[in-house]
Amino acid sequence: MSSNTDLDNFVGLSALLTGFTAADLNPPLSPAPVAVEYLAYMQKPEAKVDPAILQRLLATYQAIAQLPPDQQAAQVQAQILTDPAMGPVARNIIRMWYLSIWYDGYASGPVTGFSSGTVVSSNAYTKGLAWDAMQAHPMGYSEMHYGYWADPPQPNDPADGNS
Amino acid sequence: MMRLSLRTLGAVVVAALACAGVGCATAPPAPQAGATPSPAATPLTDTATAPAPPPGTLSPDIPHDANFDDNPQTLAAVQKDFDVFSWRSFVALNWPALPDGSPDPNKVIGADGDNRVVWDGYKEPYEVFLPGGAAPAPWGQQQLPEQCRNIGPGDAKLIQMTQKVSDSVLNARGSGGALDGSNQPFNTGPLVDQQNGRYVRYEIRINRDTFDYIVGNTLYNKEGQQAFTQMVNFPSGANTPGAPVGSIVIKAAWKVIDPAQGDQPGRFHKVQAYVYTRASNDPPTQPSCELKTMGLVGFHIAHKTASAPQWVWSTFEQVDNVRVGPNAPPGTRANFFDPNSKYPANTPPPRPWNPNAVLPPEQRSQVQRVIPIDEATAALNAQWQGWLRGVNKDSVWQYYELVSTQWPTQPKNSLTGPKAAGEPAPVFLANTTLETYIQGRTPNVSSSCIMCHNNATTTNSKFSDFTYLLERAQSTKGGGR
Amino acid sequence: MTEQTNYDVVIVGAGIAGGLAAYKLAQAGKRVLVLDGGPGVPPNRGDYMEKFYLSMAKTPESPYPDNDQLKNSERAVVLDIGSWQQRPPTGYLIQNGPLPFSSSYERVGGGTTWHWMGTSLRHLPNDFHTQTTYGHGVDWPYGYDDLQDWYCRAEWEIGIAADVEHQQYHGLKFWNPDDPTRQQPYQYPMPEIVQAYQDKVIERRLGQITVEGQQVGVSPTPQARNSIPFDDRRVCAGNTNCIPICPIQAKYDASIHLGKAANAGAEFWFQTVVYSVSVDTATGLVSGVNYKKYQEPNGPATETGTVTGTVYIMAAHAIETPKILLNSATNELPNGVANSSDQVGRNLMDHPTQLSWALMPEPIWPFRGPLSTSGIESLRDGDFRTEHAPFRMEIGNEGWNWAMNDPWGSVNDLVAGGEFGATLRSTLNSLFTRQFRFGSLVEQMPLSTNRIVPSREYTDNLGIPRPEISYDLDPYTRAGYAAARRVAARLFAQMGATDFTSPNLGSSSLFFYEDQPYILNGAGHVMGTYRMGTDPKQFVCDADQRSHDHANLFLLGSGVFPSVGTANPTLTIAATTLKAVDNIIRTVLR
Repeated sequence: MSSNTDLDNFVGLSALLTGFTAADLNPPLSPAPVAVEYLAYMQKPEAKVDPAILQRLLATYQAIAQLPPDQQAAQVQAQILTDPAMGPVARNIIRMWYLSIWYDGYASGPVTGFSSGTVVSSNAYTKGLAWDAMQAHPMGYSEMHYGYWADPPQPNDPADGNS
Repeated sequence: MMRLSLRTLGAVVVAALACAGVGCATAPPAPQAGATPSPAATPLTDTATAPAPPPGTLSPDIPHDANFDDNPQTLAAVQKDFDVFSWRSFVALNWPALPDGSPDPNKVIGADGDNRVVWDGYKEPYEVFLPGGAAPAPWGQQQLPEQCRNIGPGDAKLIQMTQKVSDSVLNARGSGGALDGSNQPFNTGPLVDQQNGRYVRYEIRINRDTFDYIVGNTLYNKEGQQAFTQMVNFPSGANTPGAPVGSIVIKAAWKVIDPAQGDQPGRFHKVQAYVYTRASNDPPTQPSCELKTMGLVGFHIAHKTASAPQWVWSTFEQVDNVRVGPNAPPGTRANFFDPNSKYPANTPPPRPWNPNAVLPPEQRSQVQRVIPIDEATAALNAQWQGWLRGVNKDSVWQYYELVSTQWPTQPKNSLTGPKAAGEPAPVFLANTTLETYIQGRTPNVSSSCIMCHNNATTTNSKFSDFTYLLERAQSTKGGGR
Repeated sequence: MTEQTNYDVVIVGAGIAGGLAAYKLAQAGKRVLVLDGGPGVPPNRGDYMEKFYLSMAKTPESPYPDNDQLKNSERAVVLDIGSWQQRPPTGYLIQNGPLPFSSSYERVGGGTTWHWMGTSLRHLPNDFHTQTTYGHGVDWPYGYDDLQDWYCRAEWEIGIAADVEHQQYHGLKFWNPDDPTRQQPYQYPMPEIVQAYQDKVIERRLGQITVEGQQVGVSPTPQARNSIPFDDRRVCAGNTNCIPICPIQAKYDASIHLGKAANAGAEFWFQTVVYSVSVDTATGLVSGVNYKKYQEPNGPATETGTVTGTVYIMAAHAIETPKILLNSATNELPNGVANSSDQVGRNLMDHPTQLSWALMPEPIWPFRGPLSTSGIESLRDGDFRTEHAPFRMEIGNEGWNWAMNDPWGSVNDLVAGGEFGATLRSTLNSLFTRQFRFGSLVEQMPLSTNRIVPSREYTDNLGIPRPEISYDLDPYTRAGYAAARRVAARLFAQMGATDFTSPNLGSSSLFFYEDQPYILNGAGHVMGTYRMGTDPKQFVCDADQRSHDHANLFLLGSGVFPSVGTANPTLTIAATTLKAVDNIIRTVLR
């Protein structure tokens, strides 16, 4: 059984948690890979992530990744999201990918849109998944051209439920 | 029968010339795939021997696209492929030119120290986007200006760019050249050199493929742009046989060269140019035209290639811009930095911004490079500078350095979708002479060739394929723009 | 004390009014000095944008220095509204209520145009005489026809994108200002901004519907946003961030005119806070403006002084200008400078904004394009104005961003509820792509008890009194607010949308009308506090915006508006500024 790097496991886990593919989350040749930033941020003291819990999370994912793909989401739910230690971290990872924010107090109480936290970086903000999920772009960061808003967005991943 | 192509002949000639230099006892080394990068640059002294380049390295053939032979394909490896592409382009574009603008196969870049260059023969925007939306003169035919005509010798270079796109464009040009652009993107401010206290001047040049696309599709006037219902799509260069060079757009920055003010002329590619300031009321400015010796300080090459629908963006600087570069004579000062100056860094001079002004020392531009040139590129620079120096130790071309090359890491992204920029690498890129005041690392604001040019449109707001040129078109109904 | 003299014009405030005035006066060859309490315009907007990216709350003020980072030039911010009742006050304004004044502004070079939306509507003809026509409000001292030419010039100066053909409602007329016969047609400098896909869906789903006697229609909005390359600025790329900052300056902001004014020879002193105005009581003329300069944003005053000129222009904003004038009280002028009418600081008005939000039955894909490209102008005028305030319905293009802090709100709600993976992604898609909101800007009536005075208790870092605000909504305005809510609900039903509007009953911005709860929102519009009119007993300045009390003092900005209609004020600020300054050039400084 091969051993993935922490980054590989983090990206693979994040794909299952977010509903985006690993290639979406960590494109090859990316000059500013946000997956690297997020994993590094989680290992900073200010993120308040117990390193042992993080390692257990990645190892649990590595085992789940050996299963057939159509079983993996259910195992993420059963083994990770319901786990009292790993669950809160995993949910904060989802928030971080979608909103580019590592929220404070994630382990001890409810997190809402008004909770305190830290935007990981301006680079991370431009790669928030919430904007992909809505088929738009981060407010303040558009790569599109004048008039694009007159038409619906291009057809998207069927997972959006829209195309 | 195998015929030696001109390209091979040229390369053999180059190798022979290189070997004609000092101490050339061995054959030039063959290029090796996957070779480790050279160690960090050590400045060459006058007597050092530059290793000769592999055959075909110094060539007048503009590469049509980068060459990729990386295994595995890593960001660093592909970046190097593009950086090599940039250097090959720089050499080919600056190759000694025949009077018709084509490269001289019997000469080598810098063999005489300095030389007139191929891209001098490229067209300038004011020759293409004429008043009244008139059709440009064919390639190779120059138009005579009404201004600057009787000031200097007929073969002085005319480098011309409107600094304020809303002003009327000069309607003709001569066999010389005039420089009149002096403002940076979106009015962020002029750049003023330390030696002379004078504004840096800019020009834009477009190659044949670009010119033909504009003319062939009548994109040189507003009405033609309105009638053009397809997406603007300039020709892409490719390395496949028969493929075109592809569209190339050059932007050059020039400063006044005056040895009496401490300039070192031997360290610049120089031209005699008409420095033209058009009349304006923002700020109130009188028109003027002077003949000056100008030195190249900044050089952008934008090239559309098959591997880069978002174009490849190469940018070079003269080595003394923000610090004194290698092999400088004692007393050489940086072009845009003075360690004793108290003027705030990367801040434009106080208004009014009058291009005719000569600023006092305490207001001259104080420029710092915000994003350093990375080590791999610096090592590559040392290698190419050595090869150029090997042609002639007085070659001006050894005093230029590649800042970096920006290229799309996701070139297949749809140009009409949310990731149209194709995730450029490096994320940010600025030339300290051309994007002086917008250097930084803030997405969508700090200088990034592709992100900024992604906003370019025609006069009727259609995406214009990463060039701002098309917004200069005027109407056939007159009334300026 | 330093005395600086011999300017033709001294302008206090480097926002759009001060910038336009400085530009025109400098172009006319006058010696101009502009003083502004905030820092100057940075070489690029990278720092502002980076701060925006890293802000947890993307409020209008989020890119700009926080009050605790720039104590010497504080201002009202949105984040202080929720705690308005606390003492000591958490924010710059001291709010006495009974309702919180809910609009913010900026005190940096360029002013609030850094974060305005760019909406550039003209006042309607009837907006200039609502008292005469409807028995409510206060008439302006002139009519639409008198201001039309200046609207045109302001639209060309700023760069407004619109098609005249789509702006012909409620009696609006357009003619070429250079034609004295008023026959020649007028054209905006840029074609109208393309409407968003969602605007067309809304138009289709509304169909033919009449509300309060008005046929409801969706109109493209005139915007200070490039629809073609213009004035060396880029075309809008739909960054959907107009408020709080356009990353590429496709949206106009006043730094444009600060640059042009400086190029024309105007002098600028930033970090120079004017705190009072001096008057020579013998002549009744203003004799100087008094300032404190600072080097460090939180440091002490490093210099104090007085500047003199022939003409003085106050363009410091509708809260700061009256604060300065009232802070200038002396024994001879116990009510402050320019205040024999006792109206300085009074009649503070906003456009209270009723937010209604819904989920559409089909995807409309908001968050794409400018924050708003269309509106429903139908209820800005009509016979109902005898009964309740009119309102302009802004069609928001940002889903429930304002209403519910989305996407941050809903992502967190769904994650907390246990959603993840592909179902989270598709649920969010289904939700976000159907979100929609109206923001109805209601005309507020002037109340003399709605006022700003310099606080006697609280000062800023430089020892200058902070603004103390008393604010309420009169019944006519509340009735308009309620009508806006009713109409929004009706239009949602017409479109088959599910109404999700619900007021937070714990909010400190809660108010009632006819026993129904509403949440007060501000539009970012601050108006009325030094209003213009012919009668010196009721108005601070005349129709030329010259103080009734001091012949060499002029007042610019939305503070001169005696009534506020339903149009975003900036275009009218620009038009009235150009008009006033033209008069100064032709007659006062001749």
